[in-house]
Amino acid sequence: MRYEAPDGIPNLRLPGDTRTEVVRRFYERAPFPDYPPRGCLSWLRARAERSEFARLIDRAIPGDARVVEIGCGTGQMSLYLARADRVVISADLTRASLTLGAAAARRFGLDQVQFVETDLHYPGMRAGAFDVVYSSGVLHHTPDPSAAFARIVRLARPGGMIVLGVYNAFARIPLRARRFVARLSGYRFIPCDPVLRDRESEPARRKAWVRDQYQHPEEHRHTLAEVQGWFAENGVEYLRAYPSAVLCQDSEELFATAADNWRLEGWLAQLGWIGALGHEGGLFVTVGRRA
Amino acid sequence: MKNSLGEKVWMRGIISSHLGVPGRKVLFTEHHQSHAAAAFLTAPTCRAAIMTADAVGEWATLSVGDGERLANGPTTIRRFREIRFPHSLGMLYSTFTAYLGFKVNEDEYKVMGLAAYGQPTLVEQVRKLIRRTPDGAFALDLNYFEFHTTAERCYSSRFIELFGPSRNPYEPIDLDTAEGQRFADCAASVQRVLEDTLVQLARALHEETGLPDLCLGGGVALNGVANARILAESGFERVFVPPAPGDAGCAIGAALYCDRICFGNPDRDLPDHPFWGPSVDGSELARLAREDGHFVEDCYDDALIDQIADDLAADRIVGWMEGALEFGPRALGHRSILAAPHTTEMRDRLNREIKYREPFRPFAPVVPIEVAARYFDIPPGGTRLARFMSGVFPVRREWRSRLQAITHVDGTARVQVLEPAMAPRLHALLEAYGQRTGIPVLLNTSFNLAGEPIVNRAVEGYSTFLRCRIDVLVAGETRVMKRTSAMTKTPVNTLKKEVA
Repeated sequence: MRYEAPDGIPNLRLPGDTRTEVVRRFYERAPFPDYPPRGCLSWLRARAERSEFARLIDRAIPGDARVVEIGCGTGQMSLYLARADRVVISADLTRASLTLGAAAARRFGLDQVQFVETDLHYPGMRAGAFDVVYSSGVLHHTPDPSAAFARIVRLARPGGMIVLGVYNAFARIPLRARRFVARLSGYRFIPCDPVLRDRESEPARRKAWVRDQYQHPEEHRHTLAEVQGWFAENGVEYLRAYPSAVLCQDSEELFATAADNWRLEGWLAQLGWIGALGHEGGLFVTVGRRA
Repeated sequence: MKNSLGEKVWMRGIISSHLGVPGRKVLFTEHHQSHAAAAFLTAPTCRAAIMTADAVGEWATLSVGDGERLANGPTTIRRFREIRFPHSLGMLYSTFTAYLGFKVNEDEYKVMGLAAYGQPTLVEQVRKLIRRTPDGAFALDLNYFEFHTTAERCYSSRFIELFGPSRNPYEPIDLDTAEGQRFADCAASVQRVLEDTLVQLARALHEETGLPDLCLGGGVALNGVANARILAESGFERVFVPPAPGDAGCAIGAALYCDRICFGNPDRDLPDHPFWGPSVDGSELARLAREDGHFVEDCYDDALIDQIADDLAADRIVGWMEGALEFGPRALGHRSILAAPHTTEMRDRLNREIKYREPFRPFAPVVPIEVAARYFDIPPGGTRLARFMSGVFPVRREWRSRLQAITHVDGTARVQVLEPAMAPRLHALLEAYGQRTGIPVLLNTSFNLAGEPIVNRAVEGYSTFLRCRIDVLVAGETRVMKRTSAMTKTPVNTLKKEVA
């Protein structure tokens, strides 16, 4: 097989279906999220470490792991995880985003990240090659998330970890309510969005959030049980969710099995996420181990 | 408040129940008494003036006094005067730490590092915050502060009016922009005012006591730039700062105070080193690393020193664990990351791959005492400050180009001057490294990752080794090398040729 690699970013993408193409063009127009003109590595790390989840996943992934991020966007998480002797492959559908990420990696002097343009339905990477498959905020933007999940699971080696972040059906309710109002007003009025309030003084980042959260052409929402169903179908052992699906327990070790997995408790926890995650996008993370 | 009610009020009971001793046997020393004892009773001097300064103790924030200990006589520590909360040099500095977007009570050293990039153009404004009083003390203008009324914020809106908006902690400091330069100037100005105030207080104390020695304690004594200026300008011939002048050192201070003063025990000399912690076990490292299939070698004495010196000369980064853990915030040669100090590339590599620091923060060097004066401009008495990395001194101009990784932007370095008796193996390593490269100086930074404590046992060092790009790990007699590091052929250092 031969492929082109303009700007050092291999193009492994095969032509996709119409809906995938719509999503791709959506991101081509405005890569998300952008880098500030004078960002440096310590800035990126400081920003990433505001999130507890980022700290936990960095602590959980071994120093010599091979990591693939499916749907890396501009690759901020990939660059954050590119520490120690890890090798990170960062795949995305959109060349415009990848170019930004690769430029940042060069600027920060990180040589262990490789950006790749590809479609996750036909990733063009060797099955079983990775210790960690990480994909957050991506599958819910594909036409058939459960089919897409089956594709990316194969990339993990037996015993490798799958870390999957998708919109939660419950936690997304507040945003959908806001979006309903926003659409009625032609996006002139978006009530009570804390992220927008935070970015009051940064119109570019405000606009990016509105585009990503309110105007995305393809969006699905999933329950914990649904994701656990995907795991079971694809031979992935469910370990835990983040935020924890066990009530009154904090997630300390992201790659450790949760104390319990009781379906009723999971539903209750998800109701709690309406409050806990609802002020943002409502994204929850599920961690599993490939058998 | 919650903490005071929940814990501090019941301290006697908590201590007595944990230690299983009756409550009436628990003695208390005042915070600044402990600082003073930690500074004076660990220093190799019999009579000295004592100055302690921090954010706040019980109520005291700064105290001056003197101490005397006699071989067979009593020990005395006197306090002449103290300044009380809310008037506090430490609080002033911490307020700027918060304003500049760093963590209070933790990241004050970042303000000191940033100060070197700025000009003290805002000194007049800072002086509005801290007024000298006719009796030689100082007072803060509380209109500019809020730390005494709320736990939320240190500075008031008038402070913002005076200095402009505070820094967003999550945005990088870009020194090429006017905004970034303003923050550097703020840091430089508060640093200048802190130094000036301390120097004046120390000078007055020198005139009052007429003693040649000064013992400094409290968190403010971690400010190496200020310490060097006190040594140079206050009239004292020698300045002693213990390895842990901050609150951790109060434990030693309180124990010594009770022993020498409450119980009246005769004075004994203390070992003059900071190595009070647990020892590292090389065989534990060997076992862990072998299980993971790393390249493990046990070698002894000279062979190990030679091997490590070769590694360093080949630009490998070495995690160095030896003997007992240091007590205090500085890595003084027993839990250190060592590297070649010559190039900015090495500094950037350490920042990028191990320490994850802001680019404006410097790294410190370690140098044998015999040749220290060749590379660093250390005044008489300065070697004592440099023993525990407590002073910042200029790097000699002719060596700066070959010591780029440890020379700060203003041409200085927080150097550790190493006596052979304090850490013999590190001293031997420096000499071996000097034989290879012509410059027996190494970069020495604490063995930890950003936001983590300094490693203690072999297993912690090993875990840190795996999570960053340290090439070689040494614990006791065991040397471990990553396979990836063994495979990269590093070009032989050209420095040797250059020096010869």
